[in-house]
This record gives sequence, C-alpha cells and structure tokens, in this order.
Amino acid sequence: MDKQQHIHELIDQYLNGELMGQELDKFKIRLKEDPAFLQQVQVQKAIISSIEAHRQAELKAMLVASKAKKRGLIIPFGNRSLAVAASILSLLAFGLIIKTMLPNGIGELTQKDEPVKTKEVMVDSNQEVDDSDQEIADSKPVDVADSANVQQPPEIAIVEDTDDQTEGPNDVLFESDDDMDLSELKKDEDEIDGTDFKTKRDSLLGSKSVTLLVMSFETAESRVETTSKTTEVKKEGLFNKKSKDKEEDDKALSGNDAEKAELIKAPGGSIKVEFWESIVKFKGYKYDGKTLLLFDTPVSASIALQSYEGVTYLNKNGVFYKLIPNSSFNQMSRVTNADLLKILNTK
Amino acid sequence: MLLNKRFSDSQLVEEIKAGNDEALVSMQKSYYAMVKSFILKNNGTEEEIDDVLQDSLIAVWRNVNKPHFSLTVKMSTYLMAIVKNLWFKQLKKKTRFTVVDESLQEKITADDIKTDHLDHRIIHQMVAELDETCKRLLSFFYFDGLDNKVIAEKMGFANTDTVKSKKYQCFKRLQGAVTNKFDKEDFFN
Repeated sequence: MDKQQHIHELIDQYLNGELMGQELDKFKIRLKEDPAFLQQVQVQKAIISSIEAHRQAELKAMLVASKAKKRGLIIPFGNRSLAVAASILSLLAFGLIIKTMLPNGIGELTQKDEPVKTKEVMVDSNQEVDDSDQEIADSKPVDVADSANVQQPPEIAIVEDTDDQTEGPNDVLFESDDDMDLSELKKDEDEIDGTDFKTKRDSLLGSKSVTLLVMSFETAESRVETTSKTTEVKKEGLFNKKSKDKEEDDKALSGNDAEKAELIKAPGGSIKVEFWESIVKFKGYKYDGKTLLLFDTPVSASIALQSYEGVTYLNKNGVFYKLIPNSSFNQMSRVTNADLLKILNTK
Repeated sequence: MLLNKRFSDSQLVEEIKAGNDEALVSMQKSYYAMVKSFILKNNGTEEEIDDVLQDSLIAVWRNVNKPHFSLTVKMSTYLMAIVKNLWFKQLKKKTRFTVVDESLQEKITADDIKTDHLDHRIIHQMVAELDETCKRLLSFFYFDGLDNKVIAEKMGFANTDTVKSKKYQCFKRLQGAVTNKFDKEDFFN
C-alpha cells in the first residue's frame, strides 16, 4: 500500500469517526497546519456525500419502479371479500339481464339459432315422448341415452329436447313467440322484481341493547369544588358546623388526592347492537353513534361498550376495539396502546 | 422470484447484509398498509406515503449494514420507529416553511470539515458519469457499508486487498476530476 492510499484510508477512518487517540490528535494538527491536506479531506468528504446521495437515489428509483409495477395489479377494493361480493353481484346482475331479455333463458337462443333442426327434432322427440309416457305409465324411468341410441341423433339438441319433453313445463319453448304464455311471463317478471326471487343476503342473527359507559378522569380541583359546594349546602342547612370528620376529609383531598385524578364511570345512554352474518364473511362493523352492526360476531359473545375522551371502544370477549363512526363499513381496529388499555380495563 | 416471497425478520436482515435490494421491495410491499395508516392519521396525504416509506427503508438498509447491528425488536416495529422519526421531522419542517434538500445534507459529521463552498451538483454529476464497476464498488463501500469480504464476493474480486486497491483507484480518479474542476480559491475562502 503506497503512502497516498494510506492517507486516503486514514481520511476515511476520520470521516467515519473511527480514528482514536494519538492518531486523531496528529490528524487534527495536520488539518490545521497543512492547507493541502485540508483540501484533500474536504474533497474526499464531498465525494463520499455524493456517492451516498447517488446510491440513495438509485435505491429510491428502484422502489418507485417496483411500486409502479405493483400499482397495475391493485384491485380497487380495500378488502378482498368486498371484491368477491362485487364479482358475485356482477354475475347476478348479468344473470338478471339475460333473464329479463330472454324470459326462457338460453333455450330460446338455441331455438332461434337452429329453428329448422329443432322442428325436425320435435317430430322425432314427440314420438319418443309418447314412448316415454308409456314407460312412465309403466313406472319405468326414461333412459335418455337409450332413446338417443335408438334414434341415432346427430345433434346434441335431441337429448336436450327429450329431457325437456319428459319434464313437461318447458313446452312453451317449442311454440312461436305469439303463442307465449303470458302468465309465465308475469311469473318471470315477479321473480325479477323480487317477489319470488331468492338470493343469499346478509342475515340478522340477533340484537340487544348495551349501555355505554362513559369514562372520565375527575381531577382533584373538580372534587374540591364539589366538596366545597357540599359544605356550603350543609352550612345553609341544620348542620352548619364543620364536623371533625369533614375536616379530615378536606385535608386528605388537599393532600394525596390533589395529585391524583380519579377515573369515573357513568352510564351514557344505550346503543343498539345488531349481530349480522355476512355472506362474504365480512369481519367488521358499522357504527353511527346509536346503532352498532357487528359482523362475524356471535350473539353469545360478551359485549360491552365504553367511551373515553370522546372515542367509543368495544369490549368483545375481553379484547378492546376502537369504533370509528362510519356510514359504510370498517374493519375492526384493535386497541394496542398499553396506557389506554390500562384505563379501559379499570374496574 | 424474491419479489413475491415473504421474508422473516432474520431473513430480511441477512438479505440486506448481502446487498440484495429486492429485500427492500418486499418490505415496501409488506409494510405499506401500516405506514399508510400512520401517515394518514398524522396529517399526511396519500402522496407523502411512498416518499416517507422509501426513505425509511433506505435508512433501515444503511443501519442494518452498520457493524454491530442487531435487530432486537420486530422489523415492523423498527421500521415504524424510523418512519415516525422521519415523518415528525418533516412535519416540523412543514410548519417552519423551510425547504431543505436532503440529498445535499451532510451525512458525515466531521464538523470541522466544511464542504458547503463546493458545488455538490458538479460532484453528483461526476459520480453519475463514473464507470459502473467503480460506481458499484464505491456505493457498496460508502453507502451500503458492506464488508470488503462481501464486496469481493459480490463483485468477483480475488480477495479483500483487491477490493481496497480497486476502491482506491476509483476514488483517486474521481478525486482528480473534482480537484481539477474546482479552483484553489474554492477550498481556501
């Protein structure tokens, strides 16, 4: 290692704070006495700063690039279950649209696509239905495959037609639009309107009314104030002389208790709690200050509501959650602050 | 691919020490929600989340590579401590209405060595124009704080002496260019 390289490493050590004792003293003396050496240290320091800034910018650019890549994949829902629910709803909506446009579903499309073939099939299948009816009368089930073999049908539609014919109620498929049964149409409309339409929804498991306990610290001052008020009331009444006990109480208040604040719990109205089961397994709540909707919480769960410094907390089976009033739905936010938990757990 | 892998805390430390910057990408993905929640609850905006998280991750990167570093808490706790410090510093700056360019801030606290009179932008440009090997080598040494042995492994050098010698050559080249660029007056005013 040549002398210059040694000096370079020495400067590195100095700038890194690794130089100690005599070496450091010598270094500092040289800095004061040798301007060329000071210049070398300045340049080395400036270069190192630039190298660091350059690498920092490089890492940051890498992180920004990876974030940009990821952004393209983000599902615009904070919650996967909501995304699943949205997909199900989209499918249902699509199904309803199809149902509205084609009261008889896909069958109509099949019929319209191949009207001639269907007619041919009808003749064949009608004959077969007769056979089938006979068989039904003999209490023998129709073997669709067998009948298909007999007829040697080239189209898949034949098998479907046989099924339809055997089941009966879809006869309307084979009639023209003019002959369409209006009562059937009405029934379909009712279904779409929701009269008979059944879809799985969130269900209410139960509800109960829970008293909200408002917690607050009563300071010594406020208690002293309360005490003096009490004294004044007593003076006005029969006992206008301060008793010895009262004096002791006052002393106690101005002594130890003045330094401490006492936690007071008072009932602050009742909150209606509803327990809901979500079809998308949503685990959260909705809270408007008067009603609390809990999802994925059994009715049997131990529930208590407490309010501290204007914030409502839910105690569910001994675990505290912060409730933020919301008009939509929130995920449960567990309280982890040790000091706050200590206050909330105060009996 | 590491991008989709979730590391344990000890794995993260190992990956960072090995200079694998994909560990940072993984951390960015894992801890984004946590940092977002903190920033938004503390007067921040969506636009500021990425910036704070990325600066904090870089700080973690540098700290982990420091000698004698040992992670005594969960990585998430450690990162959040840095995020909080950074964010509260930024909030202070915001309230004072002062704009400070972080990149031009002095990183080394050798107080008696002033470099403010030197135009750092010129030096940045010179570093950027350095050949890739030198740039990587100097970054590994000065920014990442990697051990010479690790640098030798990463860059395919025979041993630590080669690392020292190459690093000195690269630095000398840069130093020569910088010294030529600035007048003597720049150093002695």
